[in-house]
Amino acid sequence: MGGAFGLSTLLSNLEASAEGAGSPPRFLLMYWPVGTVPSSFRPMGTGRDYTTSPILQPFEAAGLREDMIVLYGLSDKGLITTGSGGSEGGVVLRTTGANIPGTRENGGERDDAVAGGPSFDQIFLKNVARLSPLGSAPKYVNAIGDARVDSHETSCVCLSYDYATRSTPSATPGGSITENTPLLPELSPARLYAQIFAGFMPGGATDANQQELRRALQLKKSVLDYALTELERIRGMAPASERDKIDVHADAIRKLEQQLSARGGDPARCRLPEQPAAELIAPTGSTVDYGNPAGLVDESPVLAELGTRHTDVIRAAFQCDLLRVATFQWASAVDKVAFKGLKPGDPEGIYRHHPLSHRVVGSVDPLPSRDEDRDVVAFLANVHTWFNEKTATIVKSFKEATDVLGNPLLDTTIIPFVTDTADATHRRSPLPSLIFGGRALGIQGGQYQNFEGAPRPHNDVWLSIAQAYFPDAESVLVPLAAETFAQNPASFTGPIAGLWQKPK
Amino acid sequence: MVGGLLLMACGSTGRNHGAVSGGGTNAGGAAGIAGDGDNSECPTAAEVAPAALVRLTFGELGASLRQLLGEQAAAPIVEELEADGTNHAFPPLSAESEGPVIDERRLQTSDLLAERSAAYVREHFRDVTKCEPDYECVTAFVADLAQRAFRRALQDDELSALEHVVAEAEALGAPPEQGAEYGVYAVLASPHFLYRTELGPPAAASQTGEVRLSDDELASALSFFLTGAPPDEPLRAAATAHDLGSSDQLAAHVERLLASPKARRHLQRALGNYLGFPRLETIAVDTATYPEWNAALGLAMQHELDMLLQGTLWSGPLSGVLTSRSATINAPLASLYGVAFPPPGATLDELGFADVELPEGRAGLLTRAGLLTARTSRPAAAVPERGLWVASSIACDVVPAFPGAAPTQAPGTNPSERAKAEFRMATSPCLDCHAAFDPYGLALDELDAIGRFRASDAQGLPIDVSVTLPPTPRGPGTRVSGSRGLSTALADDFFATCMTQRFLEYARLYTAQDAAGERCQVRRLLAASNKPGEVSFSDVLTSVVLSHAFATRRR
Repeated sequence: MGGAFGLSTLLSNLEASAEGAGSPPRFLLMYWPVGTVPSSFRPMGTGRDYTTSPILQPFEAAGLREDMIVLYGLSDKGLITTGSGGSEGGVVLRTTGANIPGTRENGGERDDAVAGGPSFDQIFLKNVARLSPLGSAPKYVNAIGDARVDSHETSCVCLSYDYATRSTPSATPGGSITENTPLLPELSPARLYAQIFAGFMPGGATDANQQELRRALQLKKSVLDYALTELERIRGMAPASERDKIDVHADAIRKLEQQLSARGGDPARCRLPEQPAAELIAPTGSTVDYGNPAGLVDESPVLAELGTRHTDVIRAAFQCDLLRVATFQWASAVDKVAFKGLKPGDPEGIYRHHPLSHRVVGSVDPLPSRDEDRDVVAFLANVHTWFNEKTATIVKSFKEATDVLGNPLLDTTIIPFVTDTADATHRRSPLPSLIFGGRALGIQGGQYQNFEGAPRPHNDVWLSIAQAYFPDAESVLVPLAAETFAQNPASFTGPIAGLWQKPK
Repeated sequence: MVGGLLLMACGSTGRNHGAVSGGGTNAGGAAGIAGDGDNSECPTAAEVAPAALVRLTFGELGASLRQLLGEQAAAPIVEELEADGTNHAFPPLSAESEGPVIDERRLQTSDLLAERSAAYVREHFRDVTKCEPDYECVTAFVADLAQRAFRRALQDDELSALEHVVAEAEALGAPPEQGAEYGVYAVLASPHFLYRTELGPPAAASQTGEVRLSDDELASALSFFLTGAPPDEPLRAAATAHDLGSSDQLAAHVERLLASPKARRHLQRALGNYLGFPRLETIAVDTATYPEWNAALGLAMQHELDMLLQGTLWSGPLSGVLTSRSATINAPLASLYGVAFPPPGATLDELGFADVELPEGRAGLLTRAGLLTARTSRPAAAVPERGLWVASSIACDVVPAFPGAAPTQAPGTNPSERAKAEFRMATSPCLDCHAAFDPYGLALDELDAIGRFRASDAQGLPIDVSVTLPPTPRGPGTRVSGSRGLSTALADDFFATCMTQRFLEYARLYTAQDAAGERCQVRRLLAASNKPGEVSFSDVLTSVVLSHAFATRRR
């Protein structure tokens, strides 16, 4: 496609938003692996006056407290896991909210969960028309920072599942099983960039671009003028009883003309990010290294770079309104990312995250009794803090960015930040979950709710978020009634009170 | 399920059948429009709708794009903007997303539809326009497109206005491809495309009183009514040649169009929308009480209803909708109906369905599981809910709006539905309304919330489905027993009259002020060319098109 692709897309989406609708909503699902360390995660107090915790401190330090909802004490109750592993099943349950029908036969362990329903990014994309920029393709992207697994799992490296289903060989219950098709993430930020921005001409960069945009605007105005003239012609022929109808139509056209004249949006705000290096690619592969969780090099800088580049592309795509739905998975649910210096008393030690998590003997909450286990738990807490530091940087970049209509990007972007299990013991409860952004959509940041005494299903988080996308629905269960997760009333209660308020 | 008290009460507003005379016969109809201008048998003259500017629905705009640019061009645009005509309103213009007026919200969609289509023309310039990049050819292409899009020939000044848009593109230095793009954009954003007129010919602009639609307007009205799409080539040619003046000429086009699968799908969908078939798989049913309910069963019910309409609308009398025992079902539906499946010798289709003959008790629409599930949103109030639906949708009674009076409790502890209904029908102020529709609901009470037969209610009390139906214009109400008896009683010419009345409203987007008077006119219309008991759906539609009311407007 030529440069006109980008300009006409921008123009159309500018007009669509200029026609009274404001900035469109967005959705970015993010994920971190292996749960948390409850004692270091749970804030003190609840509501708006909570005291943050060490693990959540990076968000506070980044000035994101008022843009963040912290939830704890969620669960997967009411959901069936059918032979899936704690991590493997956890990711699938988290993003689909639907029963797992079985596990995939992949030549490895028999616990690679298959999805029994579409994931929530796809559910929202399908049911919320404004999450699809008109004319753009693709409608969504998925990206990952580290895709290494230990037994050929697909479930561990996928957040997004299609409505389309397919047959796949099954370990449990055996034979073949029907799964919702995994929409595997992109490993390479450079390919992600090309996928979204190929053929796109950045706005405001050249005189030629501006000239073309001006001509397009002028011709659009000419079309609207013609339509107004013809409405006036019809008005002369129509009976008096029909003139109100004509007047409403004419008023709508005039308003659109005014918005075009006022240049309701500025394509110059759509600036492409630096093109990522082609050699920066998320690692893949399947190895079992629980016997030796030590790593050779600190891989966290590379993971941080991958996270930055992937989310830079996604953020720019959101700003340019080429895309409104995306997922970013920091790493596989059984990740092998090696971190240096995060284990207490071992500043030069390099350890792989998920393999070391399997070395905890006893519980994580309360803390284990042996010092060596407590050191491992501290390592896990430090890794979670590391993920939060990097995520805070990303969320802050969304907060500081504006879209082509000049509105703060984070205010119209909801960023759920979820994990697969409660902690290293692979418990399914009490789960932590965070929600960033969406202030203009009614999301009420700046609070902490803890459901440990009476765990809420994690699907209630999705229903809470859904309110922001269906602000006029009496109940979000109405527009979502046909969805797979909704056929299992045991898996949800309803939206969590206080997380959303209808915007004025 | 919520059990318990009577929840409805009623004011003394009474019902409105109006004074209606018998059907009679009329020897007219062979030459000229059917002669129902003779009002000697009906107390009031045929009511004529006012002249109007009629907005095309997004589905009709999508169908127009398909005709103008072809399926390959139109399909992605129609899908993206959801302009595929699948809203469930009757008529479609009454849907919340539609409406008679192009306001800012609807302008957004129609403008994008036009813009996307225009962009397609630019991107496929040579294929679509058959032009080399040359402004003279582009101008000619846009003029021809406009004539097809506006469904009539253009006046000289209309043509000049369009040519000016193209000329401006050239003057601004736009390449011919972009000139074509904005010419097409102007055509598809034009009110001449977005609306059809029901004003009469230009010469009648200064007249008052009744005017006949112009031939172009008649062709559009007929085509959008029967197919949901603009006139095809034969109909446009007939309009241009002024060959739509007689009943025979109109009837020939009706017969031709009704033979097409497109028209049949469109009209079947319209009737389904009228009967209120929702997306059954999304209906909330209490699975604790009905554990066999699931979305797949809902889909199966939907399919069965669609096939019932398909099997009865296009062959045999319209009454077959209410009396047919033929059904297309699958194993879960067979289990619900209590019939063996698959029947001996039957071949299942790729969806697992087979054609069966249902038992005598399952005759027609009112006994089918999908209809009963759709019409039972609250099982505790099923009798009045279903009864009200039958009264208004099948019998075309005019039922007053619920006055919102305080609820009244029937006597006794845990009274049966029958007891509650009898209390309502005997107690003022409720009886004026409830006597008019509760009997229909009582007759259907032998079928539970998902359409299974039952002999006793949730409290174990035996169900009595013998009722005396409300009186009709034809005389006192008949005594019937159960859903089968109700269906038989309703499946007379009154049902055909009711459907004709509704489709006349649908066709001209106008509801008569005097419903009873219009029903009299409709009965005369049907009787003019149909034998009693043999009125088909095609007869209904033909009668609508040939009526004075269809082709005439009041200025």
